[in-house]
Amino acid sequence: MMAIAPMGSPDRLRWIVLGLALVAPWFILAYTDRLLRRTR
Amino acid sequence: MYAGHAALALLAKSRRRRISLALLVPIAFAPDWIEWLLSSGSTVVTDRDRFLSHSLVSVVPCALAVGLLYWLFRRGAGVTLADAATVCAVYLSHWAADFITGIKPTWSGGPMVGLMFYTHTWPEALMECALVLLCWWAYRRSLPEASRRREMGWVIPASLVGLEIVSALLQQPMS
Repeated sequence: MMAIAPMGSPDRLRWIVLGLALVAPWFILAYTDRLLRRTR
Repeated sequence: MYAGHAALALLAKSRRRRISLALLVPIAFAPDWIEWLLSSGSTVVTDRDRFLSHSLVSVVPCALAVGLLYWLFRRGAGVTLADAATVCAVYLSHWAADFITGIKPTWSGGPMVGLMFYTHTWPEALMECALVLLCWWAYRRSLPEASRRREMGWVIPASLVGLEIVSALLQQPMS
C-alpha cells in the first residue's frame, strides 16, 4: 500500500515544490506571450 | 530535462502561431504532470508512476490522443492537421528530451534507456540554457515587429534560465 506523506513533512513539501516547478514555466510563458502579442 | 521542455514548446509556437502557448507548455511537460498527479500524497515516486507517465507505451498513445482531441475540438477554429501533429510532436518530444538527460522506461518488461546526461549536472544545465536561448530566438523571430523590441520579451529566457539554475542547484532535476 502506498505510504501517505503527512502534512508538513519533507516529502509533502517536495511534492508541492515539484508542482510549483511545473506551474512556473507555464504561467510565465503563457502570460508573457499574451502580453507580447497584445497590440498597444 | 526541465527548462528544455518549455523551450521546445516555444520552438513549436514559433512554427505554429495558431496554437496557444498556454496549451503547448503543459503538453510539453505532460508526462511530468501525470507523474506528479500519480504520486499525489505519497512519499515516493514509484516505478509504476514512472512507467504510467514516462514509458513509450504511455507517451505514444497519449501524444496521439492529445493531437486527435486538439484537432477534433479546435478544427472549427481553423486548426489544421499540421497543428494537431505539432501538438502530438510536442508531447513526444518529452520522451526524446528525457532520453538525453535521464533514463526512461520503454514498455512492460522492456529496458530502461537513456544517455543519463544528468550525471554531469552543470554541463547538462548549460545545454538546457543554450536550448532555451536558441528556441527563444526562433520564437522571438515569430513575434510581430513591434513586440520584438519590447523588453518584456527578455522575461522568458531570463526566467527559464533562472529556473534551470535553481533546479541544478537543488540537484533534484525534473525527470
